[in-house]
Amino acid sequence: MKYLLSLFTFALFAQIETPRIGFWRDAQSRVRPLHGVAGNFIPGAAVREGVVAFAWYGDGGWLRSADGIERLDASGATVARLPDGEARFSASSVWLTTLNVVYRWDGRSLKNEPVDPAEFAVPDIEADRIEPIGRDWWHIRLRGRSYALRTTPGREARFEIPEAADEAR
Amino acid sequence: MKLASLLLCAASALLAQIQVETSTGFQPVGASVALGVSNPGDPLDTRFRGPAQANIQIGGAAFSARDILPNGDFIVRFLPAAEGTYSASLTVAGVTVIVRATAQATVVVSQAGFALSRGSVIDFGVVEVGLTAEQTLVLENRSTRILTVSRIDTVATILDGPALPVNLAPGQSIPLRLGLTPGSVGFLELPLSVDGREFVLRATGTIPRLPAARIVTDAETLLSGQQVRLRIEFAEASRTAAGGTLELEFSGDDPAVRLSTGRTATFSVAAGSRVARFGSAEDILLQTGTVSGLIRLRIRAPGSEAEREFRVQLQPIVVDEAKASREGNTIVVAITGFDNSRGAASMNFRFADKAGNPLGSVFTVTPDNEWRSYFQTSGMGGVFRLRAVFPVAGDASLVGSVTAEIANTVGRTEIGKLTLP
Repeated sequence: MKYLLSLFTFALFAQIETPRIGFWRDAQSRVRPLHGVAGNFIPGAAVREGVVAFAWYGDGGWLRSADGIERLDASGATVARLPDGEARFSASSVWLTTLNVVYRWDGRSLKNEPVDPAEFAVPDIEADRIEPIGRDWWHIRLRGRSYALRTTPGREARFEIPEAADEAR
Repeated sequence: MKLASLLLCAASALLAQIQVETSTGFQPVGASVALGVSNPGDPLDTRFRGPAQANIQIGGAAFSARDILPNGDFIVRFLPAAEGTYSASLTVAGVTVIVRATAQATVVVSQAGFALSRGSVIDFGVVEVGLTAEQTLVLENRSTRILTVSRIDTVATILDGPALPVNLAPGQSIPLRLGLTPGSVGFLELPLSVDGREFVLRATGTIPRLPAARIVTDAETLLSGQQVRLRIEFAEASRTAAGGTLELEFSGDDPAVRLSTGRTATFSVAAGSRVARFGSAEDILLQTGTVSGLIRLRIRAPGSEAEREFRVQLQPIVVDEAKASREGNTIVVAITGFDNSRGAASMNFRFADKAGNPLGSVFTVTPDNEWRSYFQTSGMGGVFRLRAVFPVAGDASLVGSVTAEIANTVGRTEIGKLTLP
């Protein structure tokens, strides 16, 4: 055990970076990073515009625009596409509700799977719109305001996302 | 006979040198000129034209010559004091004609005891937009017979006045109370007509002024890492609808210190309200950020220039999230939080095996260069995400947990025991 600990002492290193909650879709249908920590948000500049629906889970997500539905990897790059249509998202799957078809991303491709509506559940909370924006974080739009809802067990809380209409340009 | 004809021709030639302005232009006058009808106190101006540099004289009560120009143009003003038929002799370059005019009795419109002549401006003064200024006029019969007021036309508000038509006995008077409400900044002029006699109602609209304001937050002292609600309250109800801006200044460098709309927010106040509205809400988000410093909030609105300051003190590091994990043969401790001193934090780590037995002593780490470099370049205030990586040469699965704490110059923050999955 002493051997193990001595290696610790000499080999430790630290990386420090800006924390990011995730990505969210603002009132102007732009996808923007949300930097900061709980209760101290710094919305970043828009990375996509004209987004109809969006879901981000920390290590990947989904985006729907006029061009169709895109699977995004952890860096936000598009790794797969589907034709546009009404859709609901989960961390790894997209449910094309009009066709009642589910595609699951297995890390390399989209595979057809049976529909399990429970997988696409969202928090039961009053909202005009609710979309996942990070691990244990949801974006809620309610009466013209944006909120970030934290669902980490034991740390559930709701915060307001400061959002000026013209600041993401 | 011939002599008489010659004299008449000579007189006509002389009269032709005097002209009076009519609706069709200047026309030669005859031996007498009817100027028209006016009312006591109302001037009636008629333009004449005679030879250039002519000597002009007019005799007779209620008539006067004015605005005499070198080219021979001049004005005869008829200003009767009472009703009746008037005449006067007008002599231009030695030629005399008779001017005649009639004054008809009418109801006198007076203000503060002074009779107003036709075209007079009734000034309501400087009025905040949206507020109503009042002026009381008096309709008087200064004649010796009964007079009738048949019409009063104005788009101003008649706050108090007679039912029309109304007869006024000699010497009788009735008040006419008018209200004028500017809808915008600047001159507002509206006509008032009393039986065809026109007057001008004038007010100067100014930016509405708000009562004294104060900034109210749901926390008296602010710490870093807070979201609080902010309201603007007024000492009394606003007399008119108005608006202003709320501005935020911060002494430090942190974009997270802001209102929901940024560093400024516009607000409105409804007439009769004691609270400002930000859009449809009576409050607005104030985010305190993650750097210590002075937050100054300033209201800029006509009549209300209020200010409030909050000193956000230095505080120990706040940890929002901490996790420990194994990544291959390394132990990774990830800590997310903020340091509002933006200094170099030191960290202590104590490892334990799965039974909870300590694995060696405490590791103390102060990555000065990394902290300094990060805070100099991040531009995100005091927030950070730190990944401390511990490569393990032996069996990393023997490590069951790590207890961590992190400290800045203000104090030490216990992160607690992080169990490895």
